[in-house]
Amino acid sequence: MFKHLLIATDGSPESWKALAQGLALARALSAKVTIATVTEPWTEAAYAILPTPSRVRNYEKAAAAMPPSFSTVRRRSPTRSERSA
Amino acid sequence: MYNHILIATDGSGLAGKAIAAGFELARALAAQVTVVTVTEPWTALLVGESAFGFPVDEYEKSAEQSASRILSGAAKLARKADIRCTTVHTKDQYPAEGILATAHKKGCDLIVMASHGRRGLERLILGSQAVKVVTQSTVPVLICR
Repeated sequence: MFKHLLIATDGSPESWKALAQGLALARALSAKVTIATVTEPWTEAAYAILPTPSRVRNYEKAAAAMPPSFSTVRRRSPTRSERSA
Repeated sequence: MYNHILIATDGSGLAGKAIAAGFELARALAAQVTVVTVTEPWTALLVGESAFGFPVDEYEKSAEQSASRILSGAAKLARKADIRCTTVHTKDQYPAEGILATAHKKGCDLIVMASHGRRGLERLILGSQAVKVVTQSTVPVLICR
């Protein structure tokens, strides 16, 4: 069955549901999980603001900072067969 | 995890993929399966004068026949794979509505279906019925392609 699930989240309540479902499914199937969050390019987030280098840096820093709640999600440690694969 | 999986099929090749994926998932999760095929109301197929040349009872007979052919094929596969499976023919509904209604009625907690049906426009990323099911379903939907 599925061996590697990608779970997409933006931290919204709806995406928490997807995360819960995806993790439960992965556990049932002993599948690996990658959790992805996507941040948009500067131009889409703030097209009306002059993109000075420092503003872009700040935006990218903010985008890189995960919501603190993410720390509660732990990755399942790989099984022996996965480690040897 | 999921206890009762609804697999929708219209007998097309892509739906065959959905059946295969649904069965495999059901087996991995020890879930029960309901396979549904939906046939549309007579009026949906023919409008205007051509309808007079194709009476309702004849249409219903042919819909019945094609549904039972599709479902018996799926049931056979389920027996081979040793999966608890029942089949349902939902009549006189548009595919998406029929799939959603059947999922609700049977208490399914996952819907598995193909991205496109028999008549789907392949240039679309997602067929019209799949879009409807994904947007309106209250349970998770697995789209096979």
